[in-house]
Amino acid sequence: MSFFVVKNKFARFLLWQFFILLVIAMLGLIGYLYYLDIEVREKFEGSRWEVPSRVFARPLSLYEGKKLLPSQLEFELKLLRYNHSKSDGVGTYFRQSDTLYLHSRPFQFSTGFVDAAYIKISFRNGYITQLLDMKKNTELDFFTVEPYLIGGIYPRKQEDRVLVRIDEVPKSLIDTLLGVEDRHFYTHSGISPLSILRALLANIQAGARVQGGSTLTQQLVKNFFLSNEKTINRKINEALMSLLLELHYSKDEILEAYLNEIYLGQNGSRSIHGFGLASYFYFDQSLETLNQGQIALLVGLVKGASYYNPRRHPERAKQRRRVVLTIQRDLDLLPANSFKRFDDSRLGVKKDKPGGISRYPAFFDLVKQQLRQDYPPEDLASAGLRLFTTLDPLIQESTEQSIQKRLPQLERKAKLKRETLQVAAIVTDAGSGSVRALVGGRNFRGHGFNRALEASRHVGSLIKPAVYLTALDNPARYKLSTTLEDSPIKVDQGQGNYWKPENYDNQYHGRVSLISSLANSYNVSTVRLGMTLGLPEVSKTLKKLGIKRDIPLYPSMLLGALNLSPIEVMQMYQTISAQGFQTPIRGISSVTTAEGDVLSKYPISVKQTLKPESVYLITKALEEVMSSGTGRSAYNRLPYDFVVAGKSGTTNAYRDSWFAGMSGDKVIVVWLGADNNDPINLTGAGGALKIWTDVMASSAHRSLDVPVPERIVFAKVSALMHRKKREACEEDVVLPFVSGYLPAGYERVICDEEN
Amino acid sequence: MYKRSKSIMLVNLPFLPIILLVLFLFGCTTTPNKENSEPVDSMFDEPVHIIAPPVETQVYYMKPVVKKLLHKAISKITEKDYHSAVSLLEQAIDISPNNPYVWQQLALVRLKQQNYTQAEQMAAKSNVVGEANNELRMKNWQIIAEAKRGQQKMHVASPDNLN
Repeated sequence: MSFFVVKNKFARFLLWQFFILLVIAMLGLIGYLYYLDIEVREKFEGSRWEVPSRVFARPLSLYEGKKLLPSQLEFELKLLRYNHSKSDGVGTYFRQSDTLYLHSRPFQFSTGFVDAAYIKISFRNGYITQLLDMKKNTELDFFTVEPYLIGGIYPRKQEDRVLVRIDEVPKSLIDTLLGVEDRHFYTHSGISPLSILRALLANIQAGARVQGGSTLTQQLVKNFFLSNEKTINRKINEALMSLLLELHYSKDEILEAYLNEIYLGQNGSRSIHGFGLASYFYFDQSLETLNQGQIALLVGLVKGASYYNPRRHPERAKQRRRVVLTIQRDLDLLPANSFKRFDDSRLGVKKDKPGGISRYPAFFDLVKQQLRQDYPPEDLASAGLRLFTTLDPLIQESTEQSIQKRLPQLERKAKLKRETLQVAAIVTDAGSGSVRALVGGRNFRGHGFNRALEASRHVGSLIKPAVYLTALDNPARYKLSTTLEDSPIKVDQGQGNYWKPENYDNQYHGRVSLISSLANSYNVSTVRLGMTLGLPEVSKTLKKLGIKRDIPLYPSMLLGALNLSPIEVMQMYQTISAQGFQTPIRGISSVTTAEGDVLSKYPISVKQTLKPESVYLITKALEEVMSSGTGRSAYNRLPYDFVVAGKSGTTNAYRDSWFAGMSGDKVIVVWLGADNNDPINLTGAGGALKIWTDVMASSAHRSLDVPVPERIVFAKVSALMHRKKREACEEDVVLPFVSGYLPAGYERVICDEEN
Repeated sequence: MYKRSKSIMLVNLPFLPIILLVLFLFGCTTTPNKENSEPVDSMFDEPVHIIAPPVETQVYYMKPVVKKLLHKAISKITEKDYHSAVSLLEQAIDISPNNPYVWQQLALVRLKQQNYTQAEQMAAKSNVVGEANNELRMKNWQIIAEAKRGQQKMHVASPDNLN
């Protein structure tokens, strides 16, 4: 009896012990589950909410009287992936010579939602003559085509991403994916014991691992932690986390995360996640444009993106595609008679891997740079913002075309090795400072050193307008007709060092007018003028033109021994083009939330820093550069009555070739040089001007017609700037002057002396 | 080289209309601008003739699309939809960078948004690109004056000045 009691007691003790242990184990398990839950939710939310910001180009606006070729509109529509078709579906267009019918897509602009429309656009002689709303049969004043998506910003991973919403993914892709990877996705609870069993059997039968039993949910969890270890612990963790995920989120949410997270390839150090990005990475196409064969290839890659890498192992990829196509056929996703056609078709993978999703990575750098000033990277990563930028793909592409054509020509001309010449180019709108095109190097699609923003080079004579502007800002002393001395000069640089600047033609030109000294880019007279004005004064003018960096006050600065980047040069000339109102260069026009609420605007802003009269005079002088000075070869290409103003820049030993200038609506800066700073044997006029002129001819529509400031008057004066020519004095020339400061008599005397 | 430069200076775009206009004015009116009609500098052997004083332009030519954008923008301003108004005006500026009426409306929006610095600057810009248009100018000066008052008020209201 007592034995039993003891025994009973012992048993009870054991039972208690067991119970306590069980409770502890349960508590532990609950704690562990809780921990797993937090971890997996964090990952999921992270991936779900880290929606990259979408970056758009400027929307193309159409209106009667706009200069636009039908082929340009067609190009834009092709970028936007409109199909040329007679059917009347949204996202199609049809062109008959000078008439284009457009079924536009709906779009959430920064200023509001615009519904799909059906528009007839008529052209004549390169202008739009009429816009007709075909549904309402009314004429339209104005129509804006949705902007081209130039990419996404995904700062956490330092890469572009194309995130897709589940309703944007073609149904056939989802059906194929589920058919291949997880047929019971919509019914299982995260794990599928049946599938595991089936896989186990198949693997035993085959004597190798041929089938996986993981559900999409498990694959997603696995992808979150990016580990390939196949321990039993890992498997159990994956299964638990999958169950937890399914508890918290709907099937569609999980599937959407899967579509955006799954690993589908590698590009150097950058991994390709998600179908949206993979579609661009392999086919350079957006997801919704893929055919069944392409879909089959992408879905096939889920099993092993590096093993089936279609670029490296096309045969394996083709076999894998056949497996997927077979499944498509068996599930009636693919008509049986199409099977052979797709199976025989080429993989269609683009040979060149795109550098990033953005077609215009150099412009993208500018956008990121400007955004960084306003948004912390976390906000950009998580908020799914919509960024509306100023890029004009038509101008960007024509700038690229010109560069592509000109660089080899210039290399031959300058007897340079092929592909040694580097380039930067920026095009802005004159009024707003909006960047319409930006080229950072000769490889337009590649990431890397962005010369437009980062190259810091001597600017040569591009600086001269700042010297002359300093002079003209003192109208009592300096006018366009003022004579300067272009004769040998020795500048004391201290410690017994003397600097003797020379002209490019190695000659001295005697007494020259201020306007012709600038037009012909004479060095010696410029240095003498600058030394008289004082280096600090010239430096002040540079600041007023928008240069922010410190300017060393060496005399050689007067001839451009000053490092600036092309974008800084652009700011300088933009201020001149804007009548002395500093207008910051901008790449972004506004930022909205995903829903379209405006968060911040990047409006035009202006700040008057220079007198409009002085800027007017310098612009007239820069017009003279183009009509009779170093820039005159531009008129080999530009119409004779199309007024432009500009300045060439050449640096010591021909290391840099610059041209900067403006029309009535565009400001353009072009730089050419070698990255290692070797001579390129090109002057500003012999090199950069060629590209500058091309871009001007293709992008500018308005001849320069600077508004005449109130205090400007015009006067006939002797043609002293051409004093070498006898007939110069027989005819008069018209020049602008600041009223109240007309030229003094001695200026006429010079001409009379010669006579 | 010289011939070409002269032809551009004398005959080409910026001057021709002005010269014609002046000829027209000199032909028709008896009271041209006093300051500019007289020979200016007696020190000259031959007087320097002022060719073209800035003349008030009666009708400012505007591209139809710019006119429409401007009208739309003005109605957006009355609706207090400033974002849309600015967007329309900025489009107009890209088409016609020197249209003084567009700059004036931008100044007005900034004034309504109490962005006084930009209101003042943009009205000044309108003045500069508007050449000699008195009516336009008058309104710009009103905007500038109001912007300056606004700036002063803000200055007075700022915490640094409350002690």
